[in-house]
Amino acid sequence: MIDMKPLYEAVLKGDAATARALTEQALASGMEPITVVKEFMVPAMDEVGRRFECNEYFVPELLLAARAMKAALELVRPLLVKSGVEPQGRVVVGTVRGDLHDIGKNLVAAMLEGGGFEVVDLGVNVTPEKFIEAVKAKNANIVALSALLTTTMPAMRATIEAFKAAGLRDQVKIFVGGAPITQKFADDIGADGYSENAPGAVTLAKVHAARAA
Amino acid sequence: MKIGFTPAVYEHAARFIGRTPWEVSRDAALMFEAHRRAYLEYRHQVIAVGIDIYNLEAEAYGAKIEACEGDAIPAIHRPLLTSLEEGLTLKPFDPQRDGRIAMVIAVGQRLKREFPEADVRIPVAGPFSIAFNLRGISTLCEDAVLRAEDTAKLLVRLAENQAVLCRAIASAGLDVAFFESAAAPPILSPNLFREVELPALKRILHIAAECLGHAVPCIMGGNTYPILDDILSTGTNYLVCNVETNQAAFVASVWRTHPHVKIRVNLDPGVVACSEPKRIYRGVDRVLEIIGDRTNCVMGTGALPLETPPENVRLIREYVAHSTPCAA
Repeated sequence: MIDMKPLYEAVLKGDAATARALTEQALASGMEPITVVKEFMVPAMDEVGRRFECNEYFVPELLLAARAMKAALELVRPLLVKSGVEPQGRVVVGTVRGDLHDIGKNLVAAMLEGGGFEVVDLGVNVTPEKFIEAVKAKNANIVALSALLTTTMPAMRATIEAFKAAGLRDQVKIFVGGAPITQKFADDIGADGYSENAPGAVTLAKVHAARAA
Repeated sequence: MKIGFTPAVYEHAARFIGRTPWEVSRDAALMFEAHRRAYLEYRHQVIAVGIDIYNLEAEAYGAKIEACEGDAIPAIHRPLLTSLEEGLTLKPFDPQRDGRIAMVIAVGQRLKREFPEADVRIPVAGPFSIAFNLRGISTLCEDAVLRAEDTAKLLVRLAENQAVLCRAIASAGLDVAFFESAAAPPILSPNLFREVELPALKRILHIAAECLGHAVPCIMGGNTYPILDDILSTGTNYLVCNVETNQAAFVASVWRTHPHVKIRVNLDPGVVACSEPKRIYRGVDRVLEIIGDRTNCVMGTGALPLETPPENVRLIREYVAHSTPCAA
């Protein structure tokens, strides 16, 4: 049996090359792709999130860990698809219309991917219509909206309203986040959840996935 | 004891003339009029000239600011530097020729003539803020961890390149509003801050002080309490105490160790923008309690969002004056 603890460590330390090489080895040795993900990668990203919450990790460590996870996932994902393994959920992520900032959105996207979700990243300045199109096209069940500017916070409400108008509001959970966003604002605009950081967004998504299962 | 209240007005100035931040950011006449009207309304302690103040140097180096519509704040989409090496050989820009810097300085001079009593300052970005725009935040964060030494070198180079800007500002008879957002936790850990950013921060603050003949404020965003001693070691005479940090501990620590250093203790921006006076009063009371009777503090805000109703700012100013009547 191949020792996979180093894969966990590689993701935790953000060593993309090692994470990818070890994943390759594991798959070549016959380990089930889902085992690689569930037993080693996801726990590593959970630990990354925990360390961030405890101020042991900061944004650079988060980014590097996510990059390592992504490098390893690139090998595993096609195999998971081939064997019919569904992701924990499909999340459409984007920074709302009028807002061009992407660091928070990128972190959330990377951490969600690391958490076992399939992520459709629409980028920045995303119109409500684009969010709706992506949800339809990908059959996504979660939408994560990001905003850094107070001026673009109303675009979150507009996006949620657009989902209602399109008759899709009940099919998706909509989470919001970003520097000016608060729980109160999330409640006011009818969002399903709010997180003040990327690891928190993963927790929200996981809670939703568990409830939906 | 009277406590001063000073909002930070950048893009918010645009709302006073009903034009978009994009329009105001690139037109000297509009920029002058926007800041003139904002000053007439608020009489804030410092007029920091500009709208998208973080972009000026990066644009002068050659980065492209994308045109934007409506209330959006101009931003850089594509990083100029594809590698750290490119940054290590970056030549200083010419403040008379490159980007909008000459325009912003000219607007500053006009504002100073209009309001001789005002403290008119030209924004000077810190090296991390400039690198953030030139390299992209995600790439810069990775650089900082994977190539700390080279990243520190890049930041020192960017700091040294700011000498031409500081000299141009001093020659124009104006002062510097130095800001270095994002270099603090949670973007950089305290250790990474010390390793990568602090040498460059010390360098730029030294250069600015030399050009101007006095120490300059260090306006820094983020959770700065864990790196407070390091920031104080730069010799700055003015700090911002952000809402993201432990404000009570920050204020107490500076008062204990550096009572001559002024502090702007910021209100929660959500409170400043909200529509409920009671919530605004609670927010102000919270900061007043933190300040207590310390004479080195003023109350302030982070960059006021464009849409903040001016009546909220008036409400805060009046409430602060009413709550601290002794010297009013």
